Amino acid sequence: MIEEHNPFWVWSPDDIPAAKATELFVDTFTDFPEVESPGHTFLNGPRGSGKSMMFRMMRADCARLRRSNSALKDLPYIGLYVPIKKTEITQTEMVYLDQQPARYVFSEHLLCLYVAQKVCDELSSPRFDYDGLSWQGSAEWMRRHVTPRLGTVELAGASQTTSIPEVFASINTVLKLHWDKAESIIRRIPLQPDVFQTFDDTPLSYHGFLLPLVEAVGRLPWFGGRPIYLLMDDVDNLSLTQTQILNTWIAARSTTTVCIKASTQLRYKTRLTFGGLRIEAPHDYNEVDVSVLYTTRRENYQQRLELIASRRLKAKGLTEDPRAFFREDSDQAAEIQRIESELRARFDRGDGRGARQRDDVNRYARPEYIRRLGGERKASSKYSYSGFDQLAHVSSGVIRWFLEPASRMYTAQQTSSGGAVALIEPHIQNQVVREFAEEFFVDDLRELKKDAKTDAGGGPPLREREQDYERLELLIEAMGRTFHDILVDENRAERRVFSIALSDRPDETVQRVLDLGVAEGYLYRATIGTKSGLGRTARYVLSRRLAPYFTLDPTSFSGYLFVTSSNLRNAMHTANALLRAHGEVDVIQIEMPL
Amino acid sequence: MTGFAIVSMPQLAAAIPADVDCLIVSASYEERAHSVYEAVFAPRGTPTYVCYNENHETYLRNSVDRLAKGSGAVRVPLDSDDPRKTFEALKGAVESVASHKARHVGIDVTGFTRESLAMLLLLCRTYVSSECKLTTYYHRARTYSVDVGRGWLSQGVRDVRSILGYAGRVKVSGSIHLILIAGFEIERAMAIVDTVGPSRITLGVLSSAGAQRDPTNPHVATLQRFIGRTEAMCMGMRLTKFEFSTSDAAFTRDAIRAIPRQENENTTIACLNSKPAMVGVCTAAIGLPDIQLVYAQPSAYNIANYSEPSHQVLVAPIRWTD
Repeated sequence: MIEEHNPFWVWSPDDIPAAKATELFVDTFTDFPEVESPGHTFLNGPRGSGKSMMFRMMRADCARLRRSNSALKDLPYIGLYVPIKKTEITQTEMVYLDQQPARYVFSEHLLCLYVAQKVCDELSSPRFDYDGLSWQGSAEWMRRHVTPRLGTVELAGASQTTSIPEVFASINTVLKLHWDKAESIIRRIPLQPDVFQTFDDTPLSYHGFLLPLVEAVGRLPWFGGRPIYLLMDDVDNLSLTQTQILNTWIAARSTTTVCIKASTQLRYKTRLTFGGLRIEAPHDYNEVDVSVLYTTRRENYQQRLELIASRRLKAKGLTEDPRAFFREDSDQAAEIQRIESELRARFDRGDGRGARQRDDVNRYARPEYIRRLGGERKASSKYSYSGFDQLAHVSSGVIRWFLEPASRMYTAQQTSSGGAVALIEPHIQNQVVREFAEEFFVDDLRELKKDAKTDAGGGPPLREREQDYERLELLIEAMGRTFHDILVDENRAERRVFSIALSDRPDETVQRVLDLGVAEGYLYRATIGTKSGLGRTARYVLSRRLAPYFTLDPTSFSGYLFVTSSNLRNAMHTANALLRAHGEVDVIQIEMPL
Repeated sequence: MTGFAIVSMPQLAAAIPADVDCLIVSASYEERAHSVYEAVFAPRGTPTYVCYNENHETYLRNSVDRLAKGSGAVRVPLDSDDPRKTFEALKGAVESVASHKARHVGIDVTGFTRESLAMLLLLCRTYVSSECKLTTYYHRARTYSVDVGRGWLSQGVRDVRSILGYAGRVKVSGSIHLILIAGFEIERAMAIVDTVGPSRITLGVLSSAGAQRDPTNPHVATLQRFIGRTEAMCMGMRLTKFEFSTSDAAFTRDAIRAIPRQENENTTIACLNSKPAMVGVCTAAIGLPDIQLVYAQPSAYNIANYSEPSHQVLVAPIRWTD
């Protein structure tokens, strides 16, 4: 297997064995305690930010290993995984339901059956080790909790079984019969629009079926009355109607017995229930944004990534020190050190710009190195994005954005060195991480610019969404160019700028494009105090994955640039624009933990 | 034996028999989508159903006007953002064809999206008499934009969805087996893999036998690049390969039927290759209703420079079964 040879292999959380998962997992729950606490929670973050891995660690097999192989009833909760796969639960045929008065009833019926089957799958899987227990009284339990709600369907001998997995598998068989009935209706609707009238099953609901069933599972003796957590992964894949139904479940606040933990990729469709009410935090749920870990608690992320890399290297029998494995280009490091010495000397002569010598070194050494590469030798593209710390910064809070290029670097190093790998050479790190940045910008965004050119050539207006992508591409480019200009401007007091703050309220289009940037992972949103000191305003941080593309210092955190809605609108509509005209840039120092 | 003939444009009129009662064609921004109609059916005055995406009408107006010149032309407005509207419009057109008791229907598949083509074939299978002959025409591209430098065909993925009429039979407890037929657009492939979440992938690669039968296919190298990138993208998943044909729908249909499928598994197919390959996928899926077809709708097409015509047309009867 390839993954046995590559320490940075990106495992699918679905497939990773419990022992491997616990070996490699670095605890992120301490940063986000709400995820494991009782209560409904939305866990938001871009693809690859570790949400599914957190859910993997909350499933029973990993949860037990994390707690010294404790018994199921000693776990604080029982985590049941419910992946929401679009092609399983939201077939296109569902659009025909939109005109049915009973669409909520039918969709809830379908969603209940889907979740119940996933729950029973999990409970009957090897992930649940019942330590050889048998289920005495299973027939009575099913008579009370299953048979009445699933109608008159016979349990086909399952009532005699005492094997716990077999009982759950038997329930699943019954659920499948109901699912097949409902699904056959959906499948036939396009060719037989009146087929919906033939649906004769008893509709299942959350309160009438799913919630009581899951509560009854939680009360089983081997679960010790622990709350059940439904770990619903990728709920943005639900249709609008299904999303409204899930919100209605969340509004139920049944959190002492059943909690819904829902992960999203920041594309959740609505917070409205099907009754039109809005679910709100913190009354109905908690909300966690994993990307915040990088923008507001950067050092936590760096430490976590160091641990992740260290564990993977150790498992492979390599050096446990990621900094030794991913070394920075030695010539570059030496040159930056030389500039640091210059800055110290200048400070000692009384020509320093900051309050402390260390501030000048931190602020100016690397930007000055990049400036000199570009200014004197016209070679800023020769800047080397190598060294663990730079790679960690470039990953921009998304663990997969460190692991994926690291995995490619490992493969490239193997090819280059003919097999054994003791470290990744800096030029390989630099080459791979630059390609990775270009893929992110060129493949996903920059190409849309060509479409705009086509449009300018006399075609009709592009559709609004396509225009938004084009605006986003122009905005990102303006941010990158502006930040680079500031970085290499030796007259500026603060040259390390990676974010913008809004000094007025953006119009609808500007806000929509900013939101699109956040949803696509190009921007992160945080807030800061306003210029006037009254209230707070939005700050948008450029993904550091783009740093190599625009030749920026990925370690920059210090400054941000105040911009107006008009600045942004101009940047979104003008090729090669800067966020603000040269000479009117005011950059304000902000406090960041170092 | 192949299930198709390659006919050069000057010979096309002679190669297509006069008994074709009507033509179903789709407007497109690609020049090659007009050739079969203009060379053969317009001079004959054959009744023509002209499908077009109404939501892209501004792009397609000229194309629709060119294809709907004849007095018997029926405009069929589809909507690439609204599968239901597309399905219903196509259903109306096919019911009309069936009501006229057509004995031989020609379908120029060149300009259809893969999604609307799949719907059209399902509707033909459902509503058109089994006595009626169906023949497809496909004006092959000489080059695509991707063949030259860093060109592009489509950008972004607006949506990945199952194709209406091909929902398959979903086993909630089952894992997902994705059959991915290689094409040119890796971004669409990635979106499909991300959305479907397969536990194993069977990757369709160019048939060596098919390539030998059809040595003029200019896209072999591009396909090999796609396959290499897809293999890299899917590292860690169980990945096997099967051979399909870009030109021979019957070959592709039979190849799909021959792929081993497991009892507790959902089979999903995504075709990113030519329309003849898509015809093969659809004919396989219509015969195996457990299979789901998915489609990745792009955000934008390269309407200025998608492809160049080859002036060669693949002519193939639709064979639902052997």
